[in-house]
Amino acid sequence: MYKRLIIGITSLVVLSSPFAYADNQSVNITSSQEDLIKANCLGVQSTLNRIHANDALSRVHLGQEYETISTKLMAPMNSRVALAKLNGVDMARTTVDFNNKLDEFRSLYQQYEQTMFSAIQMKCVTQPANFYAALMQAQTQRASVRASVVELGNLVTQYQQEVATVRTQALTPEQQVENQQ
Amino acid sequence: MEELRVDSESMTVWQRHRFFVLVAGVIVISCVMVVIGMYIYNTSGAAQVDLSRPGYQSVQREASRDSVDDSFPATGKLDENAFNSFDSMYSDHARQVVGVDSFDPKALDTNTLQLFVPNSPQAGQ
Repeated sequence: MYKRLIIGITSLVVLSSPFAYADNQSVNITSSQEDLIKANCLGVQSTLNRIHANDALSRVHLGQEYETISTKLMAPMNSRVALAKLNGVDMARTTVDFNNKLDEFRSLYQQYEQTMFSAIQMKCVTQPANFYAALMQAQTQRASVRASVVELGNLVTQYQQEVATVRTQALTPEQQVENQQ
Repeated sequence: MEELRVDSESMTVWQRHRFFVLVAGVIVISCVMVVIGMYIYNTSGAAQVDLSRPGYQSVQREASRDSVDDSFPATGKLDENAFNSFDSMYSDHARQVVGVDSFDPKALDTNTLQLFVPNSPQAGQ
């Protein structure tokens, strides 16, 4: 009984640990590179710390904007287009894609942040190979986060174009002429 | 006093230590709840957007506290004014997210970080 309890509590403690260790990637570094990592890594960790803080700020700003676009602009607009009995299928599809990509962005950023955190917290002088592996993994994950941001930006632009298309359907030619003048 | 001593001798071990067990039990339960809470905090993604964490002091001031309600009404006539209003709001937000130069992987390049540079200036930091 006690043994199970101890195992359960230990598992919870391990699972809730804020440290996320980089996967044991096989990294090939020479002994001279290892020496250079040991010599430079504390300074690099300081730089990583600044990048980590700035990334958190970017994540918060972008997240707020994405949330606003999705819940306060796209969803109500889709609703109004549907109520007006206009063809909003493309807009609805783009909204779904946007929300899926937003979930992916959150997940990718979380993975990247945890890898960065582990690289910053790591005792790099004693574990240069692990530090290098974590850094390489963080770089790959950062590229994924960037790709996700680009895709979300493209979807935002795509939605704007689709709204313009619906607008031409909704407004009479006279209204469109008035609008252009 | 003598009466209390006699009473205590007549108690079982459980009865004598039940207050201690109660306090210890409360502490254990609170520790378990904290562990569960931290687990949820870390896995839900809340930790990633919590700028009040240590290490984020430098960027806390830059975090936006704006609470402008840019919400497009979900009902109403879809006329020219509605489209103009939507375009205005949407463009404002789209500008913040389209073409942004965030998360450039080059920032973590070993050359950029000068990881393999002998006597790197960063090494002294």
